[in-house]
Amino acid sequence: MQITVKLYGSLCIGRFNSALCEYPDHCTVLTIVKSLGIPSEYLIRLRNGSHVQFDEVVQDGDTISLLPMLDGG
Amino acid sequence: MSGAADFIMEHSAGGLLSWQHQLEASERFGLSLAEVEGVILDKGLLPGRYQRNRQTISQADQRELFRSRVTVIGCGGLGCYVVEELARLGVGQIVVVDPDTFEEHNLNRQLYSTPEKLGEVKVLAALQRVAEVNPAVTVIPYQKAFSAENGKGLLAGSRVAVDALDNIGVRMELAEICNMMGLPLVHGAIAGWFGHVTTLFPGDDTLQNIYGPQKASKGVEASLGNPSFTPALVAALQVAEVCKLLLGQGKTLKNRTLMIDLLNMEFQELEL
Repeated sequence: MQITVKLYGSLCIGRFNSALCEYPDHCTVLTIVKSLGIPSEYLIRLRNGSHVQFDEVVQDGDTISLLPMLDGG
Repeated sequence: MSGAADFIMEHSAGGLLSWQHQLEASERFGLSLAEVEGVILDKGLLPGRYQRNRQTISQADQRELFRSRVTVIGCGGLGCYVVEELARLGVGQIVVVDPDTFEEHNLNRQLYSTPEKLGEVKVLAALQRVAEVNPAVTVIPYQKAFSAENGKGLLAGSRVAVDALDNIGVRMELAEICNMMGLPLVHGAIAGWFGHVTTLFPGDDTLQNIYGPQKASKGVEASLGNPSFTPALVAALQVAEVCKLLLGQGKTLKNRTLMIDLLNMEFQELEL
């Protein structure tokens, strides 16, 4: 199935901003995160604009957005 | 005050009163510089220091800024720049809240940190600096950590709050208290080359929409650090939002989060 993956901030470094990626059916958000070599801590995860847990199963055509959790001031 | 008002009217030129005459009025009539500034603005004049504000901010708006109080929570990378810009803008009262003293690792970015000030209280450094930059502005420093317990008291009387914190959990508490108090909040966060800014009005849950249900207090700053330019830029954007909120002008970042990527010089809006 095809998933649009959008990356923001530091997560783009050495990767991409937005890409249409091929994943096996019934894969989870965590599978996608791991496939990109992104550390799972301090990570904001959106599925079609809504926050999701790592174990959420994604569907063909979904957009997964991953953002670093910015905390500095 | 009428003697001071007459003196001010007599010595103004082109709608402006020079700093020299503002000082003289203060000394001659036993008024604070803030009191003199109040009279100048009430008389429809402008202190000379704001003459380059004039094409952007009207005389009446300058008076509005002077009559406003803004609370800045956090006096670190973002907070120092926010305080500096609010003071130069002419916001009359600035409450600054931070429990910390300057440490060596602050020197790369925190405007009020210098080698001589290592170990000094950050909010007192802000007080001293504003006294030098714009002595007509009143800084009210609180050397304490913002919390759910003291938050309402720290924000009382302010028209806008600025989130310049470095802890996500406390940011959420600040947003909640602002919401309860009906206070707009300008949020900014940074790490490395990256930052984001948004403005919350009472009832907005933008921060929850950004950070989600996770109960994290820390994020990626520890791994990405913060260079000098990221806080300067994000603080400037926050102050522009504060200015618009105080003057009721322009379009704010309500329900919009401006994502800033200085590595690729990309600015994009995220609707959350």
